[in-house]
Amino acid sequence: MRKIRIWFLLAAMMLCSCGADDEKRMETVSMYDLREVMLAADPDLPDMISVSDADDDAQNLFSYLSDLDYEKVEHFLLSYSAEGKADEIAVITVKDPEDVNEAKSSLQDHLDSRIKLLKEYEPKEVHRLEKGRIYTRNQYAVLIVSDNLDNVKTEFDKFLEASEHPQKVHGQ
Amino acid sequence: MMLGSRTLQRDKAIRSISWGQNTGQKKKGDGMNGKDIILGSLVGILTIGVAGSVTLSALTFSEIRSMKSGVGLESGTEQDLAAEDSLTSEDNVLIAENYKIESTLPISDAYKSGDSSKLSDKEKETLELASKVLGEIITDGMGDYEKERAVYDWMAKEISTDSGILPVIPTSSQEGASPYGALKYHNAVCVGYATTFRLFMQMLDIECKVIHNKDMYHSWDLVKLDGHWYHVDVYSDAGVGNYANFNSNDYIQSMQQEWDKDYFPASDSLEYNYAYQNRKSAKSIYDIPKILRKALNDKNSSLVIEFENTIAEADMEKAATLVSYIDNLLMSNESQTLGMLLNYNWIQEPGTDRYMYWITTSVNPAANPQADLSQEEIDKMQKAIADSFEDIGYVDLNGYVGGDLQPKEAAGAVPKEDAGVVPEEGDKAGNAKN
Repeated sequence: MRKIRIWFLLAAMMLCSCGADDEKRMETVSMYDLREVMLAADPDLPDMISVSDADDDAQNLFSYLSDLDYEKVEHFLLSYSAEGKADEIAVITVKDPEDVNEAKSSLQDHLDSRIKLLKEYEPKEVHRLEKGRIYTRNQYAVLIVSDNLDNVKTEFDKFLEASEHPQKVHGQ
Repeated sequence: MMLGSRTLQRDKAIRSISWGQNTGQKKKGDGMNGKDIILGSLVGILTIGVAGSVTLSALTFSEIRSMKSGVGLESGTEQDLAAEDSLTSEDNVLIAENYKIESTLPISDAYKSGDSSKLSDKEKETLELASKVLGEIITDGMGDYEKERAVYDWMAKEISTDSGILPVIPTSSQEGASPYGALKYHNAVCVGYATTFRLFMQMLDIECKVIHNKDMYHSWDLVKLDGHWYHVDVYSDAGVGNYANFNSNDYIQSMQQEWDKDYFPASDSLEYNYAYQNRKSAKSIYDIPKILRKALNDKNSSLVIEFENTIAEADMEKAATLVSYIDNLLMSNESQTLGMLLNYNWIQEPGTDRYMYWITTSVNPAANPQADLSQEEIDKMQKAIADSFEDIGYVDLNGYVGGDLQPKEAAGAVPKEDAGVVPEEGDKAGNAKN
């Protein structure tokens, strides 16, 4: 009886851990591909500069976007106006989905700081920042400030949908 | 939010003790009985709780002190009790999360003493550059006001604002936040302007402080003349030098900024304010448009209007409405320099019960979409706009080429006898009314 209980417990543990891994971690998408798709969704973007976790100085660059502990970051992308306009697209991919709300909160802090700065030096851009949207999807926290915000968001969602359900994309 | 996070830490500490208690139970083989374990755990929890409370208080206080409003207090001799209680400081403050306000006293002291041996190489070069400027612009016989104005004029003309502060990842270097960068490269962010102006004032033995707003996104100067403090924001007047932000008082500056008034000295005089010194006289509020128009034509962007008679409250409100109509007209007029804004309000004349009307305009020639256009291109645009919008009254673009506010006669336009007069109602050009 004791052996049966031990085997039962082991089996239960294995099943639980498998389930936990599935919940904890999903395959993340290519930040480069995602960035290209999102930028392409807004043809009116000004000259943009893009950085990501692939850059040499990634952690320092990330600090301009978020105060989230970089240890919690799987990937990030940041595209912003070279001239300091309001336009900005950023995605933070956290390692643990439980940290996604913290990432989202950090993006809100970032947006608030941008509003304060541009209110001082470029007030006519402030209303565009105030229309910016921040949201989460699985372990992604997203910031979009764009005159074609809905398009950019749609393309982001479609890209992720395609990566989550590749069979659907290929019509299988 | 801060308290919540500290509470979370304390809760985590308590949970860790609970886990330790379970661990303790697993260690019964070490010779402890149940009662000892429970008692030990209770003592542990109590100790953690007390330590947590003390830590909570210390951390909260420490966080407040290290908030971006400034770290620590400058031990100045002229701060009153309110300033000493304030958490604000003049130096070692981070503006726009990137640019640090640093003391310029070592350089100005070296200038006055003639001993630069203790300066770093960069400070020595800064001293040399600043000394050269003063040698060129300050002459014998100048009083403090004349010296201050000479410095303001030079800086507004010679130093350009650095827009690299605006991108998410700024391109402005830290050099632009110091007199070194401002004087060497003639390019600066607000901190660079403010510290450079202060350096010049210190070298000239004119009392001056760098002041920043509560949001920590902008800095400018407070300068003391004849016992009174005045706000000077050279950055905001850079490239234009129109004295719009030169020697304002608290009332005027408060229309644009908010700062720690417990820490920084009060500014209540207008004696050395340019617009006040050149104030215009009016009989009634209906003289405001004509006076304003002339000021704009003369490129005076800062204007104070005093009234011969006391203005009734109802008229004060009407004045605001009147000027707002003009503001809308200027903003909606595509032929006008884009980015022209009016800032306006009633201000009390210091030491009296009288009110004056204060108006400043911000004109950015760089924003003028016509600045880089040829006459042929302007004419082409004019025709295209007129063909589609003539019914709602676009003013002839050719009347305002290059930001010149003098309207010129264009084909089909009604000649104006007085260039400074606002067009009357029933204008034959058919312009719509606001």
